[in-house]
Amino acid sequence: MASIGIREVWKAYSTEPVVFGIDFDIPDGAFVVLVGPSGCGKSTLLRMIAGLEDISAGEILIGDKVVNDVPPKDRDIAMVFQNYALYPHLTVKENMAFSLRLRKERREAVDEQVNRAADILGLTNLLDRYPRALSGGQRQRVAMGRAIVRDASVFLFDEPLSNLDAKLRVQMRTELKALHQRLKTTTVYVTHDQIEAMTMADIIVVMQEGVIMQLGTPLELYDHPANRFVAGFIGSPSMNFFEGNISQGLFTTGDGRQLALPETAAGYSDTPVTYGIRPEHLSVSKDGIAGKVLVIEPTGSETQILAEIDGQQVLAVVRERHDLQPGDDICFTPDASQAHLFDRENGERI
Amino acid sequence: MTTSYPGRAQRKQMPSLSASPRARRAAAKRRFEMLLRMLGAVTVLMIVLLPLFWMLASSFKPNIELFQRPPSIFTANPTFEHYVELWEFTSFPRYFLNTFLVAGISCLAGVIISLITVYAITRFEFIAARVFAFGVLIIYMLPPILLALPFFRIWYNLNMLNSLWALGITYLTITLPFSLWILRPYIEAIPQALEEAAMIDGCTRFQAFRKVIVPQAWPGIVASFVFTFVVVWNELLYSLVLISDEAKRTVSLGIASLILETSVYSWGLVNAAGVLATVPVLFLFAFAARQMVSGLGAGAVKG
Repeated sequence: MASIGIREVWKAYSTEPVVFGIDFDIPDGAFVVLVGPSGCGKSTLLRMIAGLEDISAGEILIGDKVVNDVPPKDRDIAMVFQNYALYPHLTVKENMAFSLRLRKERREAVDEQVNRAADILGLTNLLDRYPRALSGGQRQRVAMGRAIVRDASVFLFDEPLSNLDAKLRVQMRTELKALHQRLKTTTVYVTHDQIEAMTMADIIVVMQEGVIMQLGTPLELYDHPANRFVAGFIGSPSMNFFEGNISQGLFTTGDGRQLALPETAAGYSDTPVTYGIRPEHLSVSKDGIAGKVLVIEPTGSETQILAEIDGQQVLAVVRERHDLQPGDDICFTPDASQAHLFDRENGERI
Repeated sequence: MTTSYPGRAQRKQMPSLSASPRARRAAAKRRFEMLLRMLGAVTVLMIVLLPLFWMLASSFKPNIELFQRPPSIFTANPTFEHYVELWEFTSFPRYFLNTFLVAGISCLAGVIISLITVYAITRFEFIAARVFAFGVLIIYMLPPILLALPFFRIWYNLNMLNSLWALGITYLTITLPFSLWILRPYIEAIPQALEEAAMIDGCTRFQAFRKVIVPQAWPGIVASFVFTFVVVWNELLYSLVLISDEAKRTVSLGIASLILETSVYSWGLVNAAGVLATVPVLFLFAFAARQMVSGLGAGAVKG
């Protein structure tokens, strides 16, 4: 196990920067998820940690050692790729033993380590198969097995679940988390799926356009998003936003509707802000913000109500069951204590 | 509104199915089309195989039957006399050895050089890559006769006429572009993630190339070796221009010489030489067919 230090790391292709001076530390044994939309630089950052991309400026440390010029094979890392990257001409066992054989370890030791990893991942019966004879989930497990047998200091995962179907993804997510709890290996995991990030991470790093938008625990990000981007990105379904002003202790939308403000708004007046409220913090009421129901989506435990309020779509998630049909009138009341306010100019949290 | 369903899935009984008149007509049409295709294939095969068959049959005929009118296809008195004569009284064993050496070395060199070149072109972005690939294709399209005389001048000036090394290097102008052309799609199709995984697993770039790229490209490597070998094995023009020493001849030049240098055509010898020249090629194709198993790469990445 080892900590990782990312120190003012830049990456540019020719002269076009794509990663802008990223700087953070990953503690020993932590499960860190880099999350963000496509093209935000998260995979590039992971590949720089792996040594598969050169670093344009800055330093990356694994343990206490600066690894900028260390080739991937000497970084003591293991990586699982988005598309598995199994060696097709080798069996499952040979795939998993590949790195150990390169290190010229004793045959008995190789067998022991491969069998142990196969046992952890439920691959014991598949050891003599070739990758082409495996299902997507099995291939993913082999890729993880190949990483486990390395007994590396750091595990790197590059969107490892994105090619699996929804059910298998949930299952593998749990398995990955259990695996981390068992091995306690420092892990950096890249995904664009914020649910994966929320459910698996000790620390989430939200990135956009090559910079870190916020870094923190999943619930810190959910409860206290640092800016409008994080507020909209983290959480599913995503947060509702209203544009307006703070005036006379209330939030007033452009069309004159007034909403109660959270305590954080005390001291602000005549300030243009964005008012954010998560769908589960809206409740159906007799009075409040009025609109028309567009779509009702019952999931059993809760119901998602999509309504249109002055041309804007607003989503609420309620646990109570209401007898509503598309086209019905509806009123929502936000829980003001759970509302988030963001500066309209720079999107920063107020 | 609720509907009651049984607690377990129950399968319906499949009704007995019988072919409709329309289905029967369609089946008859398919059988007729298949028959037509078979006839077409047999006709093409006969056209292609007849000269080969004639060569094989003639190589076992005594001289007297070779010139009889009307000619017969089969002989009542098969003989090995032409093979014995070819092996014992001509320099053909030497020609075979020369051809094996020249073709083997130039094809092997062609495949190795083009494998490394294609890897560089496909993996490392550099401006010259496309120009280079296009240039190679242009060279391949040039008729060999255009290059034969310049090569003659080059080897003459280097005092290397009648050298099998010079001939082998000249053959690289055939084997290299051909191998590059065949290998490029194979290497391009190998996901870069495989090499990256190998490098993280502990390989240097060269080890990743050797342990991952080469096994993946193996069908392409075998295919390019076999096809270039056959082209070089059959090549006549360069050997005719560059080789005049009898001991340095290749098989194709030797067969041509049997026809050109004897006043009475030794058809039996020519046919026997033709049969022997065909055997290595057939063996090579049989070997290659087993090696060029498709689908070896399946399952490398999500697909």
